[in-house]
Amino acid sequence: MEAKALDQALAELRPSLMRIARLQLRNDAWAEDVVSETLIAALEGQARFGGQSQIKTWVVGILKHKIIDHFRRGGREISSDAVAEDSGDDAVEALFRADGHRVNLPREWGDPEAALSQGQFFDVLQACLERLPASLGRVFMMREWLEIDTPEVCKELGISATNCGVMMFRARMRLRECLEINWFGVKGQ
Amino acid sequence: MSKGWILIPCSHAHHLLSEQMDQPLSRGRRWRLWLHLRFCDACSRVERHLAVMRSAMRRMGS
Repeated sequence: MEAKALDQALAELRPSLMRIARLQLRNDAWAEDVVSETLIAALEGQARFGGQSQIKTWVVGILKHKIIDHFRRGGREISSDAVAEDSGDDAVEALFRADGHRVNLPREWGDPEAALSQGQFFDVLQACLERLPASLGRVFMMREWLEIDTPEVCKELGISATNCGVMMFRARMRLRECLEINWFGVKGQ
Repeated sequence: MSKGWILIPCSHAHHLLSEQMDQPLSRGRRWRLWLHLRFCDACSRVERHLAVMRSAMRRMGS
């Protein structure tokens, strides 16, 4: 790719990189940092981008590495809401009756592949991730987007395994509800 | 032994569904979940949804 074309492609990618970095880090300044590092690395490493994959896939791969570096460097102070995870989560508890049965039957999601092939679906997914409380969003993204093993996620963030499991559970339940209401409930049937 | 040992409510099954996304379940838990899923549409759907969410998250941004 021509240097100038790459410049422009990276500039166009910047907003979506920022959105994802913010989702993971929940901190604007850190997101700015990792995205800048990513764009610089992409410019310096463009010889390694053979055009065999989508440029976005390549750059997002760099972003993931930069975010993992960020965590390794210790930029991981956890916000105060993580500490309060011992308490209940009303949004999740509301899904069940006192006897443990679900209040409502989850919907069939139709053809998930059809959803995953639409860019609009990912807008809804990101909006749902934004709505997760910061601490839940962060652990869930580390697990499912950065694909770090759960014990390592807990260790990185200094959370006990039990607490970590509870947070993953709450994040998954909240996200599932949000996707069902805002995407599959509308489009999946 | 009470039947509660084998028959778990959906709330418990949901916890196990999440747990198995993170680590293999112990034999006892796997068996209780399997039994529950055989008879429960709600939890079977949630199991599929969690798998869809995982694929979606892995594709996000690329």
